[in-house]
Order: sequence, then C-alpha cells, then structure tokens
Amino acid sequence: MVFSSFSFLFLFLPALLVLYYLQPARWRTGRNLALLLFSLFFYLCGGPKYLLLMLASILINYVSGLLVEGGRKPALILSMAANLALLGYFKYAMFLMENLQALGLPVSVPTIALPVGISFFTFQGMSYVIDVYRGDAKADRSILGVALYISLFPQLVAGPIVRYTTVAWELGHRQERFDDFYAGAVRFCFGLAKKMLLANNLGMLADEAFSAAGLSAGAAWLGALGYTGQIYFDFSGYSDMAIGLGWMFGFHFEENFNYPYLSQSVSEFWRRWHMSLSGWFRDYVYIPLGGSRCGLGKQVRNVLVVWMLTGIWHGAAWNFFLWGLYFALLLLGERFVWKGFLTRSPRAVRHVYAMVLIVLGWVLFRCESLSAVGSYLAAMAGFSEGAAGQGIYFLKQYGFWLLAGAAASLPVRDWLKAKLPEQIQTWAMPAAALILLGFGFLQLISSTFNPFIYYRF
Amino acid sequence: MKKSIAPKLFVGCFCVFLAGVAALTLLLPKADSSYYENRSLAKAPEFTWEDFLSGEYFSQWETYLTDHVALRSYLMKVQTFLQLHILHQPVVSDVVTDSDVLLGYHGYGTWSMDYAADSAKTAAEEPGAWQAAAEDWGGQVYYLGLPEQYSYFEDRYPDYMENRSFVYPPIEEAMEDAMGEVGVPFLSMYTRYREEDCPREYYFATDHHYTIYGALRACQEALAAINDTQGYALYIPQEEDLAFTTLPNPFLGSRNRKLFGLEDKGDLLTVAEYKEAVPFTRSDNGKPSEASLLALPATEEETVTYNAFMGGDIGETVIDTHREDLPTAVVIGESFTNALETLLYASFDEVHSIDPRHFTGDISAYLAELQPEVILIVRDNSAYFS
Repeated sequence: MVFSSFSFLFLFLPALLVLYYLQPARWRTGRNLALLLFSLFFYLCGGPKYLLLMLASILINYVSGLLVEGGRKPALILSMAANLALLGYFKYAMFLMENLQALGLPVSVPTIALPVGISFFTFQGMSYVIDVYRGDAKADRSILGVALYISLFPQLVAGPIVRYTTVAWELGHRQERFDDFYAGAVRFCFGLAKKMLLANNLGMLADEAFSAAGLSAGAAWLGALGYTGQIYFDFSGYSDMAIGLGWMFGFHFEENFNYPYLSQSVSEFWRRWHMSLSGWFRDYVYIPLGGSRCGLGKQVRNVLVVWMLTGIWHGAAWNFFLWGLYFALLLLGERFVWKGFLTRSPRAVRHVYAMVLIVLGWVLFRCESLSAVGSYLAAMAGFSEGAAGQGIYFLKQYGFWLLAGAAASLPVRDWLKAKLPEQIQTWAMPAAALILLGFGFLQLISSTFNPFIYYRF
Repeated sequence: MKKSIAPKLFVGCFCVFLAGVAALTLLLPKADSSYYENRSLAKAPEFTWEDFLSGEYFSQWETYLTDHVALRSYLMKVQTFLQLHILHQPVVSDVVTDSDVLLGYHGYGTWSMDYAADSAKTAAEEPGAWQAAAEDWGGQVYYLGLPEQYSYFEDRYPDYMENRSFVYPPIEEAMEDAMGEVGVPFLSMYTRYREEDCPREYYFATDHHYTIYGALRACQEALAAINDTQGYALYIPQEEDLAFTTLPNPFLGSRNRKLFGLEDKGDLLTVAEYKEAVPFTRSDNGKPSEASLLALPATEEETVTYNAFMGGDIGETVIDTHREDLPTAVVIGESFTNALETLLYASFDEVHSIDPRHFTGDISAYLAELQPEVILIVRDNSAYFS
C-alpha cells in the first residue's frame, strides 16, 4: 500500500484515525496497539509472506536489544550478522549469483523477490540494537514497543530512517496535540501534491527520455532534469507525508530533506539529501571506521567504503555501485583537490557545478545497465542522433511541470513566511493545502502512473 | 491572542474530504463500464488464497476502488480540461491535440523497415490460402488496404512531432508484393488518396476512421478492381447517385472520446443513402433484423458516433438484395467495413460481412460453404501485421 492510493487515503487512514482517537489519550497501550495492528496490515497488503519476514526482524532485534544491553559485543555481532544476512539474502543474493555465473562459475541464480521496505526496516532494527549496545537507549522490555518502532507505517516502506533514540520516549509517552495534527495534515497534503503532481508528471518526461532509442542533447538534458525533479519530489513528497502522518499521531521524526538543489557543492548536497540515510552511515559506519580523524589513506578508505555501501544500499546493480563510487570520488575531490578553487568561485558557478554533477549522478542512478548509462551520457554530450523536435515536444508537454518543479525546489514557503503578514499566512497555508489535496486527488483518479520510486529499496 | 479558526476549519475539511469520498464511493451505485474509456470497469475481487498470499488480492481491491470512485468520469473530464485548456499540453491521453485534427501519438524514433517484407509475407498467408481455395469455385480475393486516420493526416502533425511517414510507403510496397505473390490484388488506398492530395473531407478530424466520402472513394476503387479482374460490369456508385445528410447531432469521434468529448474540432457525421433505393433484407449473426444500414439517434441532441454505420461491429451480417444475377461478396474486416458496406451492397446480390473480432465460426469453412465470387478483405494499415 502506498500513501497516494485510494485504499490508504480513503479507507486505511480514516479508519485508523477513528479507532485511534476514539480511545482516550491515557490508553497509550490501546492507541499503540491500534497503530501496530494497522501498521502490520499496511505491510501485509504487499504480501503476507513478507509480513513473516518483518515479524522475524522484529523478534531478532527485540531479543538482540535485551542481549546487547550492557555492551555485550558478541551479541551485537550476532545481531548485526542476522540483520545483514536477511538483507543480503533478499536483496543481494541474486545479484551475487548472477555475477558469479557471469564469471563462469557453475552456480544457479535463484529468483528472490525483494520485500518492500526491507532496507529501511532492517536499518531501523540495527539502529535500535546499536543504540542499546552503546548505551544511548535502554532496551525495550516490551516487544510491542520494538514492533511498533520497526513497523510504524508512516516510515515503514520509504523512510525517513528513524533512529530509535529519536522516538524511544514518544513510543510510550507522546502527547497528541491539535496543533501537531493540523500541521501534520497540512504537511501531508503538500507531500501528496509533490508526489502526485510534480513527481508523476516529471516522471513521465523521464520515462519518455530514458526509453527513447535516440535523443538529441537538448532532449537528453531535459529528460535528465525531469528525473532529477521526479526523484526529489517523489522521495521528499513521501518523506513529507511520513513526517506529517507522524505528527498526526504524536511522533516527531527528523527531517529528511533540506532543499538539496540549492547546494553549491556535492558535499553540501549530501548534507541536504536523504539526511536520515547519510546520518545513519555517518554514525554507524563512517565514524566507527575512524571518520576524518585519521591519516589520509584511511580517510580515503572510509569515504570509499561508506559511499560504495550507500550505492548498493539503493539497489543490487552495478550502476548503483558506480553511482556510490562517483559520489565518493567527487566528495574526495572536493575535500582534497579542488576545495580552494570551489571556495573562491562565484556563488552562481558553484551552484551550476553542483547541479550538473548531481544531474549526471541521477543519470547513473536511473539507467538500468552500464551500457544504458553510456548511451545516455553520450546523448547528453551530443553524440547521439535524436529525433528532430523531441526537445521542443518535451518543453511543450512538460515545461509547466519543469518550471513548477524548479519553483518548488526553492524555499518559497520560508520566503512567504518572512514576507506575508501572519493573518494572511494563517489562512493561506491551509487553503493552499486543501487546493493541492484536491489537485492531487484529481491526478490520483486520472492517472494510473503511480509508482513510488523509493518503494523498491 | 485569539487563535484563528483556520486550523480547525482545515482539519474539519480534511476529515470530511477523506470520509466523504470513502462514503460516497462505497454507497453510490456502481457502473459496469466506462463509456469514455470504452472499457469494462474492474469487478470486486474474489478472495483466493493464492491472490492473498501474493498480495494481488489487495492490488485488485485498489484497482476496483479507483475504477469506482465517486464522480470518477466527471473528475477525469475536469483533469482532461485542465490538460487541454490550462496547460495546453500537445498530447493528452495519447492524442495529439496541437493540430486542426486529433491524431494518435507515436512517440519518437526511426528504425529500419527490413522487417516489412517478412511481416507482409506472413500477413499474406491466410488471404493466399483463401485465394487458392476460391479458385476452385471461380472466386477471387482482394485486399483493400486503408490508411488509419493518423497516416492519412501524416502531414498534419506539428513540425516538432514524429509522424512516422517513413513507415507507410515501404509497408504498402511490401504488402503489394506479398499479396501479388499469392494472387491477391492489393488495393492501396494510402497511395490512391495521396494521388488525390488527401482531400480533407475523406477522413474525420476526431475519429480514426474515414468519412462516408472516403468510404465512397474506397468503394469505387474496389468495384473497379473487381470489374477489371473478373470481367464483371458491377455498378460503381457515384456521388451524384447518393443523397448525403449531415447530422446536426454532436459527433463523438474515437479520439475525442478519449478526451471526454472536449475537442470536437467541428466534426459532424455525414451519411449517404442511394437516391434510387435498392431493396434488401438483413440478418445479423444468423437472425433476421431490421432492413436498415444506419443506426441514427432518435433526437438531434443525442451524441452520434461512427457506429451509426451498420449499427457498429457485428460478427456476421448478411445484406441480401435478392438479385441472383449479381455475384455474392464476402467482406472480411473490422470497423472500416461498416461505412463501406452502406454503399457496396447495391452492387451485389448478397454482401456477407464478417468481423473476425466477433465472428465465432471458421472463416475458411464459411467461405468454402458459401463459395462467393468476391472476397474482399478490408484492413487499415495499423492492422496489416496483426
């Protein structure tokens, strides 16, 4: 089930809101139980056999939490191995076997379907166990708390990756407030509009461009920009909806995006994009490896390890590995090679530099094979023969959405907040949210083009 | 400070919206089909363990609910209006709207046409088999190839859009060669219409078929070829033999139908009847039916479609003029045959029309039993190889 589906918007959510808020606030266990049951049902809709996998993950991490408390390292290692084994089997076994087979080894390639959201809930489970091991959090004696933390539906299938320490207190003691509910619902409407209006329309542009047999340079760049917009509005829209839903039920998840396309360097981009994943790798991989407080060689190794892991976390394919490596090299370059040049460059140059590299990165991410990457980059460089007029068609068909996407990538809301009188803001924000909800609903009904990109990770 | 009521109003509207859409969708009566989409709507899924375990059961519910959401057609029409008239998108619902006619959207790209000869040979196998059989009783097979509206109006595509004009001439040539090899004359109306500079009135602006004028020209071409090949002197209808009537009803072409009727481009339906009527009887799928070639709406306000010709697509229709001195023809084809048959019947004793999509029998056996003198295959160029 996805947030931008009829079943979620008009059946699941209203039913949960009624069952949740009909219970008095003091019945915390009852409210949590309602959330847990609905979260499990939310996951069950993707296929009950995967629900068993998630229940196994919950059990492993619940028991692990109890065992690692007090700093028991063997239990931690065992727990990490169990989590990574699950992730490795379901996400990487096919890829590994395919490559071994390609090398000529006599192995058969199993067909393993990827369970929805496995990368997200596995990382959350690991976060819980590590936080308990480090003493940053206490092990939850109730399996209900661990189960709710891992399976909580708003962030279950596409993040943000919520640290246990962020919500540990709220799991048992949160207070739902009307102001939070209101702000959450507004945020949800904006997120839905990002997904339905911007991501889906720009996605159509990207799909046309990336599936074309030949492209002119202009059309190829427009297609790449379309995907650049699609992935941002798809993912940040989902995060907005997740954060908004969290507020509606009294949770406060951390932000996942901070206007990443305003960045003036690749390093800055990764401080603004998918912040929950960057933070996870920073705290649980990069810093334990030594971070940047070590010799040059180790610093380079640490960056390469983290970014290759980031790459393959997104998918078991060589293009994701290449994408991680690409950003690792850029980050190392910015830190050790062209930092001075970048600092001295005018702001506009820095911005163009960052955006071009980000767009090229998304081409690596979007293409499904290395040969497709080569073909698309060749088209962007003008080495491909494209159909006459395709670029003009893209502009006429999707120009509005490209412009709207560009505007929505800017902190317009923050500017309006600073400029508009409070009285107007009070009415403008909810009015805009309702209008966008209406348009998002219209798009939902009219469109069958509705897949969430991050749903597959 | 006094708190604004805006948040409370918003939360109220938000909750009413969620609950209201759910309630209306669940309570309102459900339609079986969607007229503008020309398809059946999803049925409520039946529970099976297999579907449940794979997650398919829940996907089916989602499909069912989105198919039956309250005011669905109205909402989709609003969305189409926004795309057409606010965003001015050149392509809406795969229909090219940036032209004086509505055309199919092809995407972009050119490719080698090497496959055309092989595909045409395959397409000629069945007509070739019918021709071989027909020679036993002195019959002859003809293949009337018609351009689909988007290839007829290929020069009406905007300059920036792919019109696939590179596809049609080699395909026509390949079809002519392949049909020639199996003894079936190929009548390329794509070529004939082009020789006349593709008159605008031959095809609809908003539908993928030809008009009655285009059908008349195709009818003349087919009858002339039959007379030449088999030595008949069949009557070839001329424009002055016909009374043309343009219906005032709103015409809903197949392309405009995908746009919820919002772009009619001034299209109207014209029908033709012989000034000197040729009496006939008619049967559909073996049962006698009303002796009529046109299914016209009862009032001028009702929408009319191309289905006005012959009442739409039927598996088997027989029009019998009871003139046994004339030959019998079997017309095999899809919807393009409908307008043609309203003219062609006057030249034959019997015209048997077979629509392979709806006909449940074996066409070869049907031909062997009837032994018609003329077998006319009618296909548009989008369907040559399918």
